[in-house]
Amino acid sequence: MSEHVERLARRVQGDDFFLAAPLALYATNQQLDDTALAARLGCDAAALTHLRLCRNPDPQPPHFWKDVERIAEHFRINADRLAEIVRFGQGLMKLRSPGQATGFLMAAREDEAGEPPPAEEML
Amino acid sequence: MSTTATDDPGREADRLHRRLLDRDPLAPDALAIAFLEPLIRWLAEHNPSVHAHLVEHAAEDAILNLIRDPTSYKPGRSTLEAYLRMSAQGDLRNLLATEKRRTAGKKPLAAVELLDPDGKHTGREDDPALRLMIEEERAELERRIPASVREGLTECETRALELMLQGERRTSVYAEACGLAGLPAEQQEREVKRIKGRLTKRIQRAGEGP
Repeated sequence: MSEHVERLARRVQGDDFFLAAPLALYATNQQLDDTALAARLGCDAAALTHLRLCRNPDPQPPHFWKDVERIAEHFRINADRLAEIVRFGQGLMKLRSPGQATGFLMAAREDEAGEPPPAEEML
Repeated sequence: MSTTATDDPGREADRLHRRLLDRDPLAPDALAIAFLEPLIRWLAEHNPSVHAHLVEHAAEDAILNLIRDPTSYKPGRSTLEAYLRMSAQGDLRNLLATEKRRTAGKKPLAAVELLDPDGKHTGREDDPALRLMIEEERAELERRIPASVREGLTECETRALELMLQGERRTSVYAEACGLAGLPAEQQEREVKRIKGRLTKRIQRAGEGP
């Protein structure tokens, strides 16, 4: 794995053009590190880097499914799982505003008891 | 600069460019794999006195710019490789100019801090402009919440959504806002979690809309 490609993949995590963006929002919301996120996607860390550099699927049907299936097939991961994760991340993207994203995501993911977020139950 | 294991790298690069134009979701990754490393090497060789970090950043910028706007490359005028080199060299020049301006304009921290007449610092918390900006950002965010999220929410859920948008995390605050403060703590937690769960699902559905 090229360290430069890996660095680029991290750089685009805040860029909505890339799949990295919804994945990052999902991971933050669900309190997942890279290893846990990769496990949830059903891939290894190297594949996660390349997934991040993919174009963010077009949210409009039928493009969304076409894009998700193409990505899932290439990386040999479950398309339904990828779709759920990306949908959730894209939903968060719509509600995000610079400077408020962190607070909102933190509120969404935990209560005082630090329990896992409800979204976890859906996936 | 080779793109992939092929006899004709130029044709392969053209195919990659076509995939970018066609919005193939895999194309950005393929472009980075094929071109980023060689571009960094070339840029470093031609700018030996420039810090490696800036070189890498410029190469990344060139790749990202092409990914975002593949029409900026005209296949008839040059090879993709030459285009990326030219673009990266330009990005590097811009980065160096920015860096130079930043260094020249750098002032000691003391000169930036504002002091009030009593000699107390005017920090972020006290800055009225910052408060205004936060209010404006919040108003903007609320304006952007899609109808699919807002519609059909109960009064309690609307208040809870607003609390989530403010970054509120305390169960007790949600319980107070929803009139649950009189319930035992465990029940409050359960109810608040359920409300947050519904809102989270709405957020996910919001991702499906335009």
